[in-house]
Amino acid sequence: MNTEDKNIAARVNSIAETLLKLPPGNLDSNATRDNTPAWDSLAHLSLVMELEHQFKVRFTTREIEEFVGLPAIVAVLKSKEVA
Amino acid sequence: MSGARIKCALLSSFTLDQLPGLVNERAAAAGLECEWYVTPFNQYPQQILEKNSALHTFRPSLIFVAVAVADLLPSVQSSTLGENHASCGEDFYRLMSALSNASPSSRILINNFSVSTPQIQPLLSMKGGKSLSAVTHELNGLLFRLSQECENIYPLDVSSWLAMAGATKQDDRYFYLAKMRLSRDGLDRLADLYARAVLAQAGKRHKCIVVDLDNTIWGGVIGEDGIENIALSDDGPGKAFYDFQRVLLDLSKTGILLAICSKNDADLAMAAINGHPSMILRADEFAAIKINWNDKAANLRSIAKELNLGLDSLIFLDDSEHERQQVRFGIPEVMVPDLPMDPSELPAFVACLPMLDTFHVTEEDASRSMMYAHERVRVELKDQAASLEDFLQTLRIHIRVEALDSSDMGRCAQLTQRTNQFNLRTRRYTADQLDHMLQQKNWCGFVVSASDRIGNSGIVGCALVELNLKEAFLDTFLLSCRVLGRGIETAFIAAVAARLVESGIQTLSAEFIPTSKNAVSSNFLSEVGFDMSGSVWKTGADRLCKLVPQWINLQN
Repeated sequence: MNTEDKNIAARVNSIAETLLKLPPGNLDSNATRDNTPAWDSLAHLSLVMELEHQFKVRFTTREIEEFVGLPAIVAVLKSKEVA
Repeated sequence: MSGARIKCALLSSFTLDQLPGLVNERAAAAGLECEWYVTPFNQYPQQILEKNSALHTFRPSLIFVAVAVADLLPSVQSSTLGENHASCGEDFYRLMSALSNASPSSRILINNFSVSTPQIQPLLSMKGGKSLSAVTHELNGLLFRLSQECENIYPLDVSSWLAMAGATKQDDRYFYLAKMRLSRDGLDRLADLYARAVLAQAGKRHKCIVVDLDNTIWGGVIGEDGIENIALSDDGPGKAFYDFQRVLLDLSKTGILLAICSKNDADLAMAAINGHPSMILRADEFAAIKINWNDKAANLRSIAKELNLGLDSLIFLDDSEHERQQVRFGIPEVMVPDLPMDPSELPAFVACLPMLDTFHVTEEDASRSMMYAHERVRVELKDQAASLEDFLQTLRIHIRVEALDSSDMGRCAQLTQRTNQFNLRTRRYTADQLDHMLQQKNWCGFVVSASDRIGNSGIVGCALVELNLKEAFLDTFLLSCRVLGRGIETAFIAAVAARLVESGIQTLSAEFIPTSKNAVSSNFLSEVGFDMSGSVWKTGADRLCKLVPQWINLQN
């Protein structure tokens, strides 16, 4: 990963931690919905809304459905060339 | 009231689980906490109809109802309806009536209905009665009817609220993925609205808006431009200031006081206020006027003192960043928002100021600023009078004491909520609680209204009395600070005692509970002749009857 990608991953991680009410540093960068109990459907919706707001992007319904974990989210954000 | 916990229930036909958290954040900023009950997905009808449902046992103060038209007409996919949908509105109407009856002490806030599915044939959307738009219109009509029939139902014009805020109502992605019928923006703005309800429920309300003059309530600088050249008119760009004043006037009719704090030549400014043809807010609309060259923080303090208000109940509006900073620094308690740079934004800006909401506007509210304006005249008279008694004689005070009846319940509750100074026990009541209390045979209540040659002050005090055989206990005895110091409190207790004597009461007992604000009433009981007896004050009721000061005309 280059620095820019790392930045995106770190920001996603920190946004997710805030929304899942986890202490900083407690969410693994490979966390998925399946292995993170706090990541329920309500938290998922909030996370999507917050990511769209913070990165100023708009995800398609398909993309949102495919957000099974943090790496998937980072990949989509990278494809949208967010800064 | 800080630290108060407001119980809220959310009844929704779609996913709205994120809302409570957003409302909580806003309430917390005002020092309030909410406790929520959210009905399981789309189970609100069962929760309403079952007598001992989780909703009813929760006993919420506020019930928010967010139901989508499309969820009332589940089989409808298009915007053109068949014949058999007339009953959905009636079903909803009955459900809400049932909710109102089952929760008499809750306030029920119902989102109005709006169309959020694509319109087929939009040119025909309001033509004839079969379209979704037409049904939506009818449903909103039902909401209006409900609000008139059920005192505790408050329809919320959410569709206009969101439109005014520029928020998109529905985001179809969230709807298809999660049955969520609001966009992120929409959710935030709805949370704003619900939080206003929470604050209003807790009685968190600013009491006075203090405005600067130049470039705030009119455009331009009066000392330089002259009265005829300031921007203020009922047409053209000057209309922004005219409308701004209009909104301020409308707010004052709901009980918010207005005051002026301006560095200006007082004579010139007053000439504009009372003489400019397009001025909406004349001197009578302002409860306090400070036009001088003093420091604004000092003027704000003296306005608060003059109006007997806490500094934290003032909002200060001034176009000058420098003045705003000075006030923020000098009196951090005063709310000092940044004003929009463009005057055209002023009317909407002031209409949306926080913590001005209320669920109840009384007759007194509508003329509150004017009553203070009258008070200014009284203070001038007092300054001119040879003695205090002379002044009181010239006022020609009349008071009327009446049994508290249902029409005055709202005002009486408001007095118990607002009165901090002359208040023996500072017991706070809602109109519902008062109503409930007075239905019991061993309780009675009285209100006192006052007028004099300057003006009518309306209902200015109340007494709530608990009767026990031949003894009566003053649960509440309070008088608005506006009329203190004229012997009205003494005449009032004399009149209350006379009424009680008529119904066989011999002894009146009372208690004084000190707070940080009611020192002014600390000596009242001993002054009118109560004696300390154990932990309460007591006196013979007939002794009190004779205490009416000679300058007060007591009408029965």
